[in-house]
Amino acid sequence: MTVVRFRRADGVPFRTVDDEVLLAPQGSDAFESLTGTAAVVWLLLDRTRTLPELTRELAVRYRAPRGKIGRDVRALMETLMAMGCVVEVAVDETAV
Amino acid sequence: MKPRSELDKLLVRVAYGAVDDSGGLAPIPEGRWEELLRHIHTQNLAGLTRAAVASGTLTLKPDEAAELRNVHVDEMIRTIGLERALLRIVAAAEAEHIELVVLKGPAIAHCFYPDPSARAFSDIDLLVHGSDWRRACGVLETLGFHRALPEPRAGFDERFGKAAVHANEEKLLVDLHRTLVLGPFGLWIQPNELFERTTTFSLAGRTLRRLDDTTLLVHACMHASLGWTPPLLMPLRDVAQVASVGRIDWAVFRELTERWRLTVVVQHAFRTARGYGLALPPDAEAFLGQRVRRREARALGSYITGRRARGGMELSSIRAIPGARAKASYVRALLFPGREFLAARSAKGRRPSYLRRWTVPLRWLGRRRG
Repeated sequence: MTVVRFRRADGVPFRTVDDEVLLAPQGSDAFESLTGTAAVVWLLLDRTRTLPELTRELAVRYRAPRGKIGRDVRALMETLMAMGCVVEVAVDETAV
Repeated sequence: MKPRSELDKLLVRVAYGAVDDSGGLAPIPEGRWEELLRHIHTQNLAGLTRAAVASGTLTLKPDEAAELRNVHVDEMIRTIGLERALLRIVAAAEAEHIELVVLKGPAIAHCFYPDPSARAFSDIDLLVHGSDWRRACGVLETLGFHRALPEPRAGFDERFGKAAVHANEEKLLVDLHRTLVLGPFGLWIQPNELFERTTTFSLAGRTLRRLDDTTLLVHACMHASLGWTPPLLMPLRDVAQVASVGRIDWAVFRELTERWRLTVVVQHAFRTARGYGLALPPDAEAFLGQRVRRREARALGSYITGRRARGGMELSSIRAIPGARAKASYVRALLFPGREFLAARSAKGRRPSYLRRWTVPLRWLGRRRG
């Protein structure tokens, strides 16, 4: 079964300052700043994660309904992919 | 060596979390904050200072804490901008089969500090083989990094130079090194051997090369001792951090420093770190008992005393360069550099002048005759 996972794109240096994550994506000279839930998601992406995994993690952390969080996380992943900070990987987990 | 000025003492207190008579909890003296913050920024100390606040060894007023946070964010943005440039340079160099070793900043921040956000830096330092020097300069050019100062004469860099600063339009700086330091101590080490003493580290998912812990400590000591007088606080902190956290092979460390005539340099770094209140591991303390050669001690004086500004390092370099021909080449390059170099070194609005360049050596001669 192929599962879509997300991970940080290679070559994107970052630092955390308190609860803010600063990123320097490749492909431009711009910088990005993530705060709140977006910063938490970035830190969770220290390993590959699926959307349901991220949603579950945030739902527990913020005690919020999964439906709304799921939609927000999906939108965030699209934004981060557009920035070049996150990539999608299709993983065949049949053998796992 | 201990911090002398009130400002230095205050900087040590805020950046190292040094506990003073007040138990470290006294606020910053009235009217000193702005000046202090400026120096914190100049020396990239915002992360360390905020760590001192977090650990409770320093108390700031809310507005001071907010200003410090802003400075920290500025430092981090510059730092990750430099790391992004570093990754581009490494990729371009690999495509040209040029070996690069990352020195100082990123290597130390990611491998020796518990949080790399505590360790900002202002430039990228890269070591290349002398034989790759020209091609590496070419790679930097293609990426928009232009050399700030031309070499004195053709071939000077490969024979006697330490490094060349390259800057891009965003004012990001890359210091391309052939050896670790200018002057005699740079001439006594074996740059090619440094490439055999490397390991790897990970930066943003990419694998880069750096000096191994033992050799990196040697370099950290050189940087702390020979860079500035009085010393900058971050390089000194690096010495203590790498000595304490790194996996140092102290037998190899002693052998290297002895062979490269760096015993006095390392001892100076360790003593200064201790004088600034930094703790060192027992092996580093024991190193202070190593015997120092007179020649090394004299060479150190050319870096850390007033002799530096009076051409002391150049004189020490002449003594360290092996062979009469090579010495003559070095002297010729310094006395008769190319016009482009002369123009770049002349103050704005002043005509390039060989006579002005000869002021220092003419003073030497005058003193000798007198």
